[in-house]
Order: sequence, then C-alpha cells, then structure tokens
Amino acid sequence: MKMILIEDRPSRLDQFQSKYGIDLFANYDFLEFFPIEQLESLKKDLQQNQLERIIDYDLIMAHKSAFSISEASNLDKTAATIIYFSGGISKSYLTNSPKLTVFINSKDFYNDNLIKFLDLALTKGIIEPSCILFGDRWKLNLMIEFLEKITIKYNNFYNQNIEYLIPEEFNELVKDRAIFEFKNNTFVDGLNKLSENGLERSEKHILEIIINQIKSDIENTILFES
Amino acid sequence: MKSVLIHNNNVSQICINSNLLNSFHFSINSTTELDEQIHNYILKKLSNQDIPAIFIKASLSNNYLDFVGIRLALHVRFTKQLEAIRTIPIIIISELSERSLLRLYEYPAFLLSKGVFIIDESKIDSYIDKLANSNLIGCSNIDLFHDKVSIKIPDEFDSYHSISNEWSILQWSKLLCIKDEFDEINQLRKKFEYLLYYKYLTNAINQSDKLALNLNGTSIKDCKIKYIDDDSKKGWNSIFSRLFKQLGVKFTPCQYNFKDKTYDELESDMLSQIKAEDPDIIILDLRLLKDDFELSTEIKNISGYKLLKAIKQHNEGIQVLMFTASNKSENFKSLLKEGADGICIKEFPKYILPLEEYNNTYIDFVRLIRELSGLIFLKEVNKYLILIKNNFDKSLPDNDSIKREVGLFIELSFKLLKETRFHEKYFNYAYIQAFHLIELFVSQESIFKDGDSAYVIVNNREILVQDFTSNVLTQAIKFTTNNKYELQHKTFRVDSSRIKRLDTNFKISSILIFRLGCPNSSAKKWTNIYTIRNTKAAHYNKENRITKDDIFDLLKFIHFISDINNVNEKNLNKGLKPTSFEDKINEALQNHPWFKSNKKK
Repeated sequence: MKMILIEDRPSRLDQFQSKYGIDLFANYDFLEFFPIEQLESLKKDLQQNQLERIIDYDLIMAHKSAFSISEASNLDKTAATIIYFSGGISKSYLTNSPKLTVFINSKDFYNDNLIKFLDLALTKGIIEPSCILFGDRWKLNLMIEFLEKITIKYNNFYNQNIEYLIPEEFNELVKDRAIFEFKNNTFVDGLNKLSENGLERSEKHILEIIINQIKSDIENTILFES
Repeated sequence: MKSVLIHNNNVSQICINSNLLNSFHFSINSTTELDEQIHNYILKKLSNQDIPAIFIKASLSNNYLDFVGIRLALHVRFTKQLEAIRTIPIIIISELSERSLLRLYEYPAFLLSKGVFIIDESKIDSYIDKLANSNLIGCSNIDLFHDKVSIKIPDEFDSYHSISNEWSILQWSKLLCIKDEFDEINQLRKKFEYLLYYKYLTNAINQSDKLALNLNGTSIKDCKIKYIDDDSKKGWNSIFSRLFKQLGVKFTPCQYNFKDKTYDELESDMLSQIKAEDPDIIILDLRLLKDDFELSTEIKNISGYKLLKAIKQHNEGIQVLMFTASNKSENFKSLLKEGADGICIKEFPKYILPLEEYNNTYIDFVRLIRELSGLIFLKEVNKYLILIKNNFDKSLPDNDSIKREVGLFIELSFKLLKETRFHEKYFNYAYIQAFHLIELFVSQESIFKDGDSAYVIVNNREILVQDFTSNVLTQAIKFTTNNKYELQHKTFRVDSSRIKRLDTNFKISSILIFRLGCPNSSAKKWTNIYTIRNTKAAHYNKENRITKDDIFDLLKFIHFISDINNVNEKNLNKGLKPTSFEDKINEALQNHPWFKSNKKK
C-alpha cells in the first residue's frame, strides 16, 4: 500500500504534526510527502497528461487549490482513491462519480480523523475513505450502507415475484469484507451461505434474520455511542 | 398530479417504476460544491411544478451518514424560488428507525418539524394513500419553520468572521447598487443563492432591499487611499473601487497575498508599498494573518495593530482608518491610543444584521473618510516636523533639555493639528505652539547671544547686532514701517528700557540677515509669520482664522532657519564694528561735564 500527501502549504501540516506530537511520515511508512520544490514540474506533467510520478499510489491526498481544474482532472485519471482537501469546501462529501473521491474541508482534514484513517490503514491494511469523514463512525456508516443494500435486495426479490436469486446477486454485499469483522457468526454464516448458494423464495427468513440483526446492531451501536 | 420520489437507485425497482410517483435520480458528482449541485437540481426538477409531496431517500450518496437526501429536503424548505413547493409534505425514506435518525442527523429539529415524515420504504404506498385522502399536511407556516430550524455555519469557515464578512460585502454592494460588474461579488451572490447556510440566513432576516446611499453632495478632498486587508479580494476591493470612484478619489486596491506570511514579511512588504505609493489614507484591517484568529491572541500581538504602529512610525500624518470586525471596546481603546485616526465596523461577528444597520455603518465610513481627507496635510506636516527635529538635533547637538522641549512642542503642535477635524480654532492653537520653536531657537546662546550687547553667532563667530556703550545703542538694522528690518547702519542714543526690549522679531531678523545671509527680514515670509503670530493666532475668530498654508509657511520657515546647512557668511562683514577701548574712553570723555563745558568755551 502506498499513499502520498501533496501539500503546497506545509505550515499547516507542520502545525498539525506539532499539535499531535507526531511525525506522520516516520509513523506511517506507506505515506510519502511530495516535495514542494517538485510541485511545479508535477503540474506540468499533469498538464501533459503524464502520470508516471503518481501512478503507483493507492491513495493520493492533495490540496485541491494547488491544482488547476485540468490538472486535477488528469490527476483523477490515476487508479488511486483521491482525498481532496481545501478551505473552500463548505460541505465535506464522498463521491463515486467518476471515481472514489473525498472532498473535505482542510480544517476537518487536519484533524483526529486523519490519524484514525492512517491507523486503520496501518493496522488493518485497508483504505477506508469514510473514516476520514466520519472517524470512528466509519463502521456504522458501512453497517447502514449494508442495511440499505440488503433491504433493497429483499424488497426487489419479493416485490418482483422472483423464485430464486443467484449467488452472484450477493457478491456486492459480501465484497464489503470489513463488515464481517464486527458481525457475529450467525450473520457471517448467513451471508456466506447466500453468496454460495443463492436464495430461494422459501428462504425469505434468512434475509429477514440478517436485516433484523444488522438493524439491531446499528441501534445498539448508536445507543452505545450516546 | 403525482408526488416526486428522489433517489440514487437506492430504493427497490418497484418504487422507481411506480405509476404513482415521478421518480427522479440524484447522484453527486465532483464538479461543484454539494449545495450547489442540490440547489441546481431542485430548481430544475421541482420549480413551477404542481407536486403534492416529495419522497426523498435519506441518503443519496455512497456515504449514508452524509444524509444528502435530508440536506436536499432542507434546501426545499429554504429555497425561496420554489415558492409554494417549499411547504409541501416531505417524506424521508430510511431503513433506520426514527429514533436512530434523530440521533445521527445534525438537524433533528428539521426531522421533527411540521410536514416532515420519516418512513421506511415499505410504507410508501400507505403514504401515497394518505396524500390522496388529504391526510398529510405540509409545513403550513414557513416563517414558523424558519424560527425553529437553524442551520450551522459551514465547515469552511475558521470563525464567524468569514460569514459576517461575506454578508457585509453583499450588504454594501446593495447599498452601492452594484449589479453584476464584479466577478467576486457575483460569485458571492451565487454562493448566497446555493449555500444552505446562506439560504437560512436570508430567510431568517427580513430586510428591505430598497436602501441605497445617496452620495450627492459628499465632498472628499483629493487624496490617495490605500487598502490593506486579507479579505480584500473577496469583494471589498470592488466595493471600495466603486465607492471611491463615485467620490472621485484615487484608490489602490489590495493585491497582496497574505497566505502563510510571517508578520515581519508583512510589515516589510507593506512599508515598501507605502513608501512607493505614498498614500494619504490607509484603510487597514485588524486581523491580517491566520494567527490573529487564535482566541488567545492579545491585541498587541495582532498583525493589524502592529502594522498600525509601524505605519505611524513611518509617518504619523498618514491617516489610518481601522476597518475591522472587532467589536471589543478594549481593542478600540488600544487602537486609538496607538494612533488610529478612525475605526469603522466592517462586519458584526455573531450578528447577521439587516441592511438598515449596514446603511448606518456605511454612512459612518463615508463620514470618516471625508473627515480624514481633511487631515491629509498632516502627512506633509509630519515630514517637516521630523526635518525640524533633526535640524535642532544638529544645530544644538549637546543640549538634551532643549531636545526634550523641542520634542514636546512638536508633539503638541501635531496633536493640535489633528484636532482641526473637530474645529478650525486648533489651527490657531497649533500655530502658537509651533511658533514656540522659533522662540526656543533664538533663545539659544549658540545662535543668538543676548546681553547688554547682542550678537548673532555664525560659525562660532559673534556678529555684533547691538552695541551698548554708556546708554548708547548702535543698531545694525533698521526697523521700517512695515515691520521689516533692513540692513542699515545707524547710530543713535536710546534709553535703557529700549535696550532691554530685544524682541523675537529683532532677533530673527538679525539671524536672517547675518546668520543666513538674507538681504532683509522679509525673507521666507518672516514678516508675515511674525505679524500672524501677533495679530491673528492668539485671537481666534472667523476673521482671524489660521489656514493650512499659514501653518506650512511657518513650518517651512522654522525648517529654514534651523537648518545648519543654510548658514551663510555673505553678510558677515556687514555687522557692527565693536566699540574699541579708546572709543569708549573718548566717549566717556565726551560725556564728562568738564569736557563738555570746556568744549562750549
């Protein structure tokens, strides 16, 4: 896993590091800092659609205002997930269109969640952009998302009078592996069974169990939070 | 007439395809701000439509906790352009329980407000039925809704300042009837149109948009105005460009990049600019650097305060108008103490006020600029006073007490001139104070030696200008009818009382002629200056008004006589010849009664 931070105003990075008493680049060896003195040449490369210098990264965190619209649009052509931070972003959000991109206000970026996000990458080896937006609530976010998806699946299945759902229908849900980590065995077993065998109309109760289970987990998580 | 369903393909197909609903897809893209996307979307999809209700999925993004759908619902309530649509029932679709949603969403008051319902997808049909039976009522009183639901400040703002600043810019632009001429103000207006928080503000404040300031009859003296403000490019440059154009004043907008600057860099750059541009008035913001916004920052550490000091040190006569969001009286006190010539409230942090309030600020600002434009002569005055002080330092190098006195007279004269903004009589008072410098100058033995006989000192040489021997005074210069002294040797007897009356006029006249090489005492308008001092200055009334020109004549004169470089030996040999010892014996003999009686015989 490789991540890079492109920041043309290093003073706020310094302030952040000194506030948290941390050296990000020493603590997280997968994280690199893009040298400011090379920023102009990177911009020129981007203008010419040359992505070699940043192509190897899984995640790019960049100050949005450091790049022009055309430079940023070429930056978006890399396979990396991108986190844009800027003082001019009034409402932080995440989008999948055209690719997985987070837009976050600089003040929120240089905050607790950045450490949580990097810790998550360090300890679990996963890049979870919602962690930078929601911090510890990233799991809750995944759980609700899962609930939404499985409920739609359930509603579509029974409202459309389909007799059998093929295992591939559940691939997307199973893909969210992270959710397995904090679910109990019944839940995981049920989901695994669906992804292996698919679902027959007579097995409605399996989906209902999963839905009720995740609903209850969500309620408990929220209760526990407060 | 169908209700609308807004989703992001995150409801079941049967809902999307329902004949009872108009189904609209919404997804976020990365091109513009989220609020802007929502704003444009609802105007496009919902304007001018006859819609009984809106069903909105709570989440419309890949991140459920963003609750983009509920944000869209809030926009519906706050977007004035939607007119009646704003009040229709809004049904939020969520698989989360109402209790969870209320805990997780940042504006639970909205979810609890009248006309908002939370359901899961399975209940959509029953709610469509309720609508058909008119059992669902929307938000009947939108004003009441606005009272109950308040929106938080957006993430981007470090403090409340940015909001109130932008609000203030727009209010001023209304007062100045600015239309679409300036890009940054257009952008700000656009932002006010789409940003949820601004929609909320605009709804929260009922104001008249009809005010416009009439600048007719506002006379501002010809002057150069410079502006220093880190917010300048947000719209203030345009506001002031327009205002000062209307007022016919030369204005230099602020183009400086304040980002990541240290105070030392800022001060050095600003003083260089000031030296190059030579402005008469500076409009100065208090908080120019990021650190200034730390709550703990004391006024003495705030960049605008420090820069004010530096500007005043450079030239105390440059008029500095503090244009600040600060409303702390302690700060005002400190700024005034440090020489600020006026303070105008730029914005009202924590208070978003209607246009009428800004009209008052605006009028106050124009009044202050007018007042300060009447004081721009102080910049030139200050230059003269510094030159005069330096001259005194050079002419009287070892006399600390005289330096102190000079400093006091200079300070007092300047202070009195500053007061002329309140009343013209202070010109007279300042004149008298500055004239003291002349009296102080001639009272120095290294300049004029005054005893029984009197001497003008020229390059360590004593030039006799009054010779007193046995009650006989020999004058070197003649007092003419128009108060002017001319160089003319004449010997005559005077009584002792006259000998003691060596007035300032005589002394300065002697200095002008013998020390400075002038042909007579009318040089450098001295006769006029002396007459003004004795006739007008001390007796202020409408006929005896001292003018700025009078002040400058006086300062130029003091500068001239005190400048050691102006010492000129041209008339050195035209002084009186001192009476020799033999002459004095002869004189005594001549006056002796025995000698007189023998002479008669």
